[in-house]
Amino acid sequence: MSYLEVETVTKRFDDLVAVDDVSFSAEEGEFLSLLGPSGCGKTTMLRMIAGLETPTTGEIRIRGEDVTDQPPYERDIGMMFQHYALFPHKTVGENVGFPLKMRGVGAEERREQVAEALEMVRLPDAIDRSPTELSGGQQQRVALARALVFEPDVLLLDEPLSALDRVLRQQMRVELERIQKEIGVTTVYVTHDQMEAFSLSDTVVVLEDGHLSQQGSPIDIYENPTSEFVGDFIGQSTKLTGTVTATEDRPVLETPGVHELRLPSSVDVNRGESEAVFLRAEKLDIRDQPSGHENAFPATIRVINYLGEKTVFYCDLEDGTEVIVSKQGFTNVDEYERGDEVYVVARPEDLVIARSVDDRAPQQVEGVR
Amino acid sequence: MRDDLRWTAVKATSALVYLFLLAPLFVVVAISFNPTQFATFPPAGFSLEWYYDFFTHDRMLRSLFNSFVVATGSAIVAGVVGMISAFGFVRYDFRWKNALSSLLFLPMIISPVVIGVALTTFLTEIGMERNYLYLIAGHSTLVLPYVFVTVRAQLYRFDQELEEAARTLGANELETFVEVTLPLIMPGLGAGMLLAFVISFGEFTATQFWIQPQTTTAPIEIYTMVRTSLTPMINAMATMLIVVTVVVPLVLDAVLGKNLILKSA
Repeated sequence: MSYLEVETVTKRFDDLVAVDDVSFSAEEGEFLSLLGPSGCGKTTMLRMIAGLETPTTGEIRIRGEDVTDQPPYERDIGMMFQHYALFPHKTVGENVGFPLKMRGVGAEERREQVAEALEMVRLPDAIDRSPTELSGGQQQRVALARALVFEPDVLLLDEPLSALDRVLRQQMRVELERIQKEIGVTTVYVTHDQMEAFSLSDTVVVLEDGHLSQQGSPIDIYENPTSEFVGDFIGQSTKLTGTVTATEDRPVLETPGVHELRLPSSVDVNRGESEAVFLRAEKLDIRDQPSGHENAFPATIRVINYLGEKTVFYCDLEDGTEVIVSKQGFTNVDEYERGDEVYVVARPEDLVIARSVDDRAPQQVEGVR
Repeated sequence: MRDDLRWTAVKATSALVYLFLLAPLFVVVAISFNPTQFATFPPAGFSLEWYYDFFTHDRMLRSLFNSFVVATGSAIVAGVVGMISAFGFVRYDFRWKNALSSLLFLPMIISPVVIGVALTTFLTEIGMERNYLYLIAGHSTLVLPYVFVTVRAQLYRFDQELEEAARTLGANELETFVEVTLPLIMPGLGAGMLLAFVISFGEFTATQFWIQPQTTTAPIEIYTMVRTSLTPMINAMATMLIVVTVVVPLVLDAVLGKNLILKSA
């Protein structure tokens, strides 16, 4: 039995299936992210855990107790909303003290716990201020303090960083991680931002169009996507589709843009089948000449984005397919300019091929005939 | 330059129009302190004689008290019903919603004479006596749209995520309403109820169909008095009416510190 269990949950709104047969679970203290593009059902899923929506079918359990039909106020859930949802007519202290007041905690004890919670989010002096006077980052801290002050079973975060600017977002991410680890609360985090999900989470659940696409550790999701959707959605990559052929004992993908793309020899693909391969931008290279054992294919540089820590090249293959190459600490940007004819280089072992878990099972491996 | 001139002309015209509309009110207030029997302007002196008359005149006091009772009752009834209807129209979808919401504004649009006659027929038909409740029922109908429209405007701007937040934090439906919803719609509700009070307090046209001697309201009393005996006490009474309908809400507003009227305007 896991701490938080979501079992075959489906949510229908009239004709729309927002969440489709999703199951996952989190252990006590685990940080789990629901990751996916907007409209994938991640927020609906979160709202069902909070009790703000009721699943059409399926079950949600917290500590083994079925809470599927419990109203939110009977669950011990701390939820932080995207726009914080602080009560504008109450002071910061009253906001943070609100869940305690609703639980019948006396005024004096409340004051103590509120002070403690504000200490934790490093805003001890804001207690008598109005939330409307606070900056976005401060409001967020107050919202977090309010969601945690009553020591909830589960902390739910709905895109909490999306309303902040970039620098603040990074600070808050670190802060969030510190606090979550400090109190060890089981956390479900909704985001469309892969970097946020990866840097914070023990487990990432990728949702696509209402159904669960893949669940695993960040590294698992990045290196071994189990579906084309995950391969495409995670990271910056170019997708090439083609037909598998073979030269000697090595599998090769025939694609319009590259002609012959050598695949890693370990991969199980069947000759004549259509496959999609993802070229991760940061694993590609740009050269003036093709080199021996690697895939090298001619391309024309269309755009160069120098971003300081990295440089991103947007190149066009022969058939017009766009391929993105991202180079860390690239100092000789000046040597390239728009319209240059170059070779994009990809080592076969760096290619990512989406494989569903079933296909990876040993009995299914047939190799190339 | 010409534009400046035009603006000055516009401003001057507006000022004159307002002066024309408001000046009689000031005159009434001024001559209510006039010691002479016949109205003169400017006043010939200063006297509280008519106010003394007024406060010792049983029928006058009675009518003012009646107006207070009816206006307060109507503001409360319209406040509750108007708020609940506003919630229904903003938060729920149902058939004929737009048509029905237009219907709710009818008491504002239809001539009060028609409403006065119609309601009289109806209430008489169901055998209701002409008491306070009769008047409150009538006035509530007249002022309902004002509460409905101000609360509805407030609710359209209301961030429902705040209610959801309260519920996740442990507040049940009632606690959420008392702790979060009500305080936040108070500016709209308060402004609507103040308007309802003031309009009910000054209502004349429909009210004359609904009163009996014991429930006569202040505006009707003034009218009756003007018709029978022209005493300057009426000016004192009219001044009291102005004070109640203009000054009381403003003071209440300032004291409560919510700026209900200014905010909702």
